[in-house]
Amino acid sequence: MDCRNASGRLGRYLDNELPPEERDLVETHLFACQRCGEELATLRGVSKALQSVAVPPVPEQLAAKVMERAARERASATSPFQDIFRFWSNWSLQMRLAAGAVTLAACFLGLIIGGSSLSSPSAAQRGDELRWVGLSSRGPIATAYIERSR
Amino acid sequence: MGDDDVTECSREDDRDAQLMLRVARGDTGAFEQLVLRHQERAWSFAWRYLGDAAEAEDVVQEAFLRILKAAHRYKPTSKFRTYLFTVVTRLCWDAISKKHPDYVATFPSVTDPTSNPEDLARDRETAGLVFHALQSLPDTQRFALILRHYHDLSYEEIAQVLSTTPKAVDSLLQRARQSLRLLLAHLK
Repeated sequence: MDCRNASGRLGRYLDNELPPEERDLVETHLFACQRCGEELATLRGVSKALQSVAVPPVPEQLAAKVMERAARERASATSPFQDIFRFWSNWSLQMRLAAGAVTLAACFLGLIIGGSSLSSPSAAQRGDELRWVGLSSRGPIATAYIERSR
Repeated sequence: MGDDDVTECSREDDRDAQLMLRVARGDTGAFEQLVLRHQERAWSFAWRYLGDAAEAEDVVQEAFLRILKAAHRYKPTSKFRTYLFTVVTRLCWDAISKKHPDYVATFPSVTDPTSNPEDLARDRETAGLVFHALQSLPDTQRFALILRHYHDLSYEEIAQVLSTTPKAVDSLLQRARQSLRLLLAHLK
């Protein structure tokens, strides 16, 4: 491996991201090449410098604030539609397609049944005679009695 | 990373996945556990990237709330921490698109308490220069460097967070390190 190829791999070498065979080739080159050895030392120096910047501690009560906000948002956001939407979105695609197919089939069946009752002859068309029998009332409710005869 | 470390990481990832499944079923206790387990890494990433404590805290709170809202859609196809960093990254993008953070004049540095005052002052100056150099990197280079250097994400994981390829991550890191070398050269 020459310097150009080794130099381009030093970052991944430093990060342990090279496959084993490439790693061996880079190490063999580094053993013999002072320039690439210095390049690697410089990269290590950059890594060490980055470590000099510490992070401030996690703000106090951060977790508590998150939980408080979550509870507030949950209290203000709950609605039947959101619950339905969440219930619906928990279903898999197959279940949603199946539910849609069942709904369509029910509508289709309803149309067929409704259509057949529309197409069957009414009592009058069949020649039935409706005869007035009487009226009964109980308070505000009045009931008319009729009977059908042919 | 030894075998024990790999096993430990795997156990931690499984634990996170189990907690998220419980969160999806409405378990607030599980959500709190997730927050406590990951608040430090979310905070350190946001702070290093934004350089502003108040903004970083806002981003971290919002990140966890978004994760909670989307919990019913969560699928453990990648590690939870990768998912967390993805959400935090997006929020950091939004934060900087609104305003560019000012250079933070005061920040903590890692110092040896037994050092003499001269060394402490020099360490503080070094930390300041390094911090400023990090803040001056282009956004994607800065994201990649922070995720790699401070959070030990693999190139594959960084690629997932940044929606790019491992090869592109390698390129970002090379350029970031080259920029930092030039910016920090006078420290030698």
